[in-house]
Amino acid sequence: MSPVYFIALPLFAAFGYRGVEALGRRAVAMALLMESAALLLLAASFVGGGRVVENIAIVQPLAISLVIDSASLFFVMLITLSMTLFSLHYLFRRAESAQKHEGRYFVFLNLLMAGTLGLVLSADIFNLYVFIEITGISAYVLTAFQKSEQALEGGIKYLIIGSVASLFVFFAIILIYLELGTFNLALIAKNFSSMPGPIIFVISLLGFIGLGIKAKLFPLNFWVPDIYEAAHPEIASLFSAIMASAYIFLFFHLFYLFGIGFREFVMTAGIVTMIVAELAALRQNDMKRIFAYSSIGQAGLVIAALALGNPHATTGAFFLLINNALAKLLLFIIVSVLFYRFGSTHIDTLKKVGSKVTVAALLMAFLTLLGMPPFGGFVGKFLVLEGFAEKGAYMAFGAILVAALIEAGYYFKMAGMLVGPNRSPETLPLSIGYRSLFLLIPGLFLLLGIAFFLFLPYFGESAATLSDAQGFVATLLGGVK
Amino acid sequence: MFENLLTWLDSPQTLQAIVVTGSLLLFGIGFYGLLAYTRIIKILISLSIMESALFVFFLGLASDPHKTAPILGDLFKNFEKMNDPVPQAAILTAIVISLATMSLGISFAIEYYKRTGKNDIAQMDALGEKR
Repeated sequence: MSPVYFIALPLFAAFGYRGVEALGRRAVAMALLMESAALLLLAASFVGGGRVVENIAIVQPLAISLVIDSASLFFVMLITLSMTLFSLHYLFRRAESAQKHEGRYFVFLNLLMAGTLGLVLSADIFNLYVFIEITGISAYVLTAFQKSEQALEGGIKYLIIGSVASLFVFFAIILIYLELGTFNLALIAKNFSSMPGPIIFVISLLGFIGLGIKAKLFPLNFWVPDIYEAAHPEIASLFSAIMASAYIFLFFHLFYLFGIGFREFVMTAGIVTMIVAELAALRQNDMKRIFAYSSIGQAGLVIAALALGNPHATTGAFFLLINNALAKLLLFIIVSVLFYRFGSTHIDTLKKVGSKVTVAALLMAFLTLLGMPPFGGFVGKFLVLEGFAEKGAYMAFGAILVAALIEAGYYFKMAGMLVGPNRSPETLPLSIGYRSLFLLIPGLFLLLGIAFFLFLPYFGESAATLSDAQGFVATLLGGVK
Repeated sequence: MFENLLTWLDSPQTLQAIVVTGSLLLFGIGFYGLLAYTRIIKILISLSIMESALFVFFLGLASDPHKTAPILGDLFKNFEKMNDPVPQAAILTAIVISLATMSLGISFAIEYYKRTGKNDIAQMDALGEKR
């Protein structure tokens, strides 16, 4: 099978929205579920297959190529798995809580999936720009989808900041083409260091600003909490699980491929992002904002670990990414369920949660985000800390521990509202589907934590592949000089 | 004298210098507008100016004025007297994307104005920390 289906299937399915919409709300959810499950299976068929290059239309180095290796495969599986779980939520939710135009909603969910998968797979820098824009535009529309004052305000802010970010990326791409005369990632990677120093600096700076905005790096992440608050909680779940991961991959894919220096700088930026975000989360009263800041914090930790470049830290970062994606997906889905029932996302709503399954799922998600055993988050944080200790980066080591303490502050505050005194539980009717979903997702990150030895070799290989620029260039170019 | 001036003006270096100065100036104007204005429409216009500046910059530097358009070359035999077609294709794509983003942004702005009567990002207060 060819990796082109990862992009072609969602784009093609988006055209079928009229037909699917006519069949009703369940048909939309079923179509999305079947599609993402099929892509997840397709991704699973690539496991252990090494690097697969798909050239479209012509031969290298002029072809538009898609590359799937164990690093991008990890992200493809992360995206399709998150989308599958999301469409289960879509299927189970009750009719009165549906979106207004299910058909259009389906189109933009598909575009978001196609865009993020394209970001991960594409090996052509101009196509990367196009996929950044596809992801961006579908994200702007999904943010503003409710057409309420909040949603539109968020949509406008997101559109402006997102366009500025992609402008900077586009400027960097133009400079690369003018210097090297190619859009092919492998050729650029091969000749990147032959450019004059100032040009390299300007390109790195422009790329850092553009992708830093998209990957939520401090100080370019001021917009994130507003967008997460403006968007519907279930959309925020996709932003946190899918988009953030895809942009982190893109950032480090290019970072390693082009051999850009500034390692300490990026690592420090990641650590500062983490500390600032966790501190800001302490002061929030709205669940969507708390989880948005927590997402930024987790992204900062992952960025710091990936910039360190130690094999342990990189493997740990992969654990943290999938753990954060699953936990945030669960948390935001629960927030959207609570929002339908109680009409609010204030943290006091947690005192009213009367469903045992929901309380258990929330507590498990908090624990895994805090990095407590036996959940997946523990394995990730442990490996990352091991990596930092091996490299002797004790300042960063201490900062991660401090951030974990701050994180514990607000998660225990919320846990106190779930199980502590002063509760006023109200009934929260949940369908059997939701109950099983609330057990399935914690089951996944519990599996990640207990049976970590099953995933360790795969994640280790993905981590090694991400930083293996030579291998990427050699495979993509084949015999081309 | 006049002949010399014309040849000097016609040389690729001069033309490219004019293109670089002009487009970077345009980019600066757009960037200034982005930072200085708070009206949504003015911000979108500034973004549009910045994007156009990049298109001019790329096209001006990637093509030689003494060569023809890629489709008017020597009928695809030697590819000698024609410009590199890749930047032109890329710019066309980027123009379409920019058009789509702008129209989306303007439709958001119109919808926002209809709903709230606000047209300025300084007046936006629905999001943010609430005590």
